[in-house]
Amino acid sequence: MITRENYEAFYLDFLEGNLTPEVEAAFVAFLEANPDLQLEDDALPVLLADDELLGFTEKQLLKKSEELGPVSTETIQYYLIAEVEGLLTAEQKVRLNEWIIEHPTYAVEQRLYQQTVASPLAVTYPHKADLKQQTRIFPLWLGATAAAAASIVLLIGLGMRNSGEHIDITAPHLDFAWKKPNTEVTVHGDSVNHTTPQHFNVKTVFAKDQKKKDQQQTPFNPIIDVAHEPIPSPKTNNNGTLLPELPEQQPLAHNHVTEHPEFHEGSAHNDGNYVAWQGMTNPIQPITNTISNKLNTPVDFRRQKETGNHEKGFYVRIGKFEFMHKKGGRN
Amino acid sequence: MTTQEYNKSVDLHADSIFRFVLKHLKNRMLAEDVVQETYAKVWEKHSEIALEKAKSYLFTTAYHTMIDLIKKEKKSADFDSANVVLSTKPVEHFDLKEVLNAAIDRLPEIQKTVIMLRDYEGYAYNEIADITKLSEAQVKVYIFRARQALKNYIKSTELVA
Repeated sequence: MITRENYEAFYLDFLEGNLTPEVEAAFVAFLEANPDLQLEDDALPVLLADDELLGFTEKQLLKKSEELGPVSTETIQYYLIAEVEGLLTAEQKVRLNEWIIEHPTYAVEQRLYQQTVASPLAVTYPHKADLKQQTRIFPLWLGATAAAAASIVLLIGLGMRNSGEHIDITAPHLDFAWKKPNTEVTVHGDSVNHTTPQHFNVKTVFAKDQKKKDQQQTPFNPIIDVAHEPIPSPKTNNNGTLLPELPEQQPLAHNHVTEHPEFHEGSAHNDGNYVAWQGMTNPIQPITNTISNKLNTPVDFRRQKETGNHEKGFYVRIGKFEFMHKKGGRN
Repeated sequence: MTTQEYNKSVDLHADSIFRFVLKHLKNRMLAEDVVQETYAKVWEKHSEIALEKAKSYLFTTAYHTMIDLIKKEKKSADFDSANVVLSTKPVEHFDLKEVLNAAIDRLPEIQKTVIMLRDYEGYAYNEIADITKLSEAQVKVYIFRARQALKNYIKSTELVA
């Protein structure tokens, strides 16, 4: 029996939730009958501050299970945030909305949580161009030109060292040739067809021998010509640069230069083919022809070995670029 | 990433990274430095980074670069304090976006980070965890706390208004 004399003990148990349902119902009925004994919320003794207690949300976040209890004043904050975060199932959403309809004061909370989702600010980084790296455009023709130049430099080195008329060229410099099916190669004067990679040494084929051979040459034919006939010494300009001076055109009988339309563009003095006529020969003609065809631009390399009558030197042409050089010749 | 893809990532993500860092540092010059350093670091490894991972890699790098900078600046006490909003007292805002931005500024650094990655960049919890080197559960806790704090701030400004 709850009376005005003993109700305080019941009140404490009521606040702490220690009453049985029957006693709690009796106490609630007592409070309703004695409204003057009801305590306002702020008059209740505070045993622990709110921030010293773990709320449902914090506890729920510690749990591994996504199971949520029913929506209540205890779980509502978690539900509202979970709704904003997109963590609720369709069923939970329905449950939440139904609960909010029953407790309209939480509709404000729901709206406030929905306002916590930030949209991106319009911020622009002003120095993007400084962050970018330069894209190096390395066109195919440049790569091929570089390869040609490397081959030429190597052959110059080999040629300058080699005092005889034979040039041994190791296979790696002609890799492209035997990877090409049906490429004709001359190995010690014999023509063979190679369809599979094979290592070999290409010996120089003299012009007189070459004349006996079929004049048809593919761009990939690695036959190397070396002129052996004496030729007049080319003239030089004021800077000592060899000039491809040609009083009149003569046939390139022993060079077997594949005709290329662009080779005849411009003046005769700019045409590298005429240099050969003067004694400079192209020992890598198949290579230069191939490159020339690939690039669709004149590519030529000529050289002259040092003999009793001639200075040694070389001539390089790639498109409109031409370079000639002679070195310490005897006159 | 190729060079082209790297440059594309500049176009796509430099603004987001800058916004993310600027929001933390409140100092434009420092934020620009962090962006520069971030992209410099990423460029060093660009050949190892897949394009689809570029954004995450950039944010991770930016975040840690920024944290390192904050630690360094705190040590040297050289922060441009004029640019840092120190007040925690709500100010009057009439635009919700302004209110929310002001609220985010008042969040603890880690909550600010996770909220920005979540809201501005749309990252999932596990992605934010990867970037910040937190556990997914920690990310969730920080986001929930941040939402509560933001809600309370917005509520307080409504009361002021």
